[in-house]
Amino acid sequence: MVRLVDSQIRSLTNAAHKFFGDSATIWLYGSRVDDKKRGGDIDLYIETDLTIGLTQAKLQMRGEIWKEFGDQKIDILIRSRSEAPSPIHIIAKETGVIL
Amino acid sequence: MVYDKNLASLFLMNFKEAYRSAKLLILSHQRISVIMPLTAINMGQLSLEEMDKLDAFRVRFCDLQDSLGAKIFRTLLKLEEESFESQLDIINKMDKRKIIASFADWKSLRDVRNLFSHDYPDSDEQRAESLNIAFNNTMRLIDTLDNVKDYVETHLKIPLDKFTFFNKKFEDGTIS
Repeated sequence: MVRLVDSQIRSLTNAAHKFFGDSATIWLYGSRVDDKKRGGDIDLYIETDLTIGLTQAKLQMRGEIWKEFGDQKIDILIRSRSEAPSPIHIIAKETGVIL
Repeated sequence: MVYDKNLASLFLMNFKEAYRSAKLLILSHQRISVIMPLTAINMGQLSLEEMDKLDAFRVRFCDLQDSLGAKIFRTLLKLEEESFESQLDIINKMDKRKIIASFADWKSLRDVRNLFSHDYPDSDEQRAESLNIAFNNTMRLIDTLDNVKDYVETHLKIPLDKFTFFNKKFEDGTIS
């Protein structure tokens, strides 16, 4: 169960593909995949084939999704598939839901 | 217009603090210019002294952005006896006063600042890119405080001429 509405999911996946490439995959993890919780930060994890410009792409994605999410706190973790995953990347994938 | 004496004092205190952050940020910007732009490779080869300079730059960039967004803009509106309901409202009022270039422009500066304050560590590649982006946007932050100064001097007739930011800006963004 994902505690986001359809328009929010569409906004996130569209922006992720626009700025991180069509092959990018986006996971939602943390409190927003827990039915027992309410509200909370939106924790996203994105894997991309891009190897450079990830931070600039993240800023562009934030600019794009702002209209849908306003000032809600969104934490975006990015990993280039060319890099080894860190523990938080593994946790995000194991506990998260692909959007 | 006669301004509330206490609010005017509060604004000046906040402006002085932001000005101090701006001066220190300019100093940090100069000090790290020789090692910019950063890459994941040279991030791993930095001396302790260079890391110290980068940390100071990062903190000062955040300090100035925080000071503007959380204190200067608010106390300026209070001084003008203009009410506001939210941060969004405050930013729109700054846009109307031409203190910021646009809402989107200010939001992008806040997003740059927030690159340094999220929950998990980035890769060296992403940390290097974040610092490069902040480095390249430093002047926009300084300019925002400069715009506050111009606005206050022009519209509120409060002299701030003892606060001069820098002598010269070069085209490549470095400051003397």
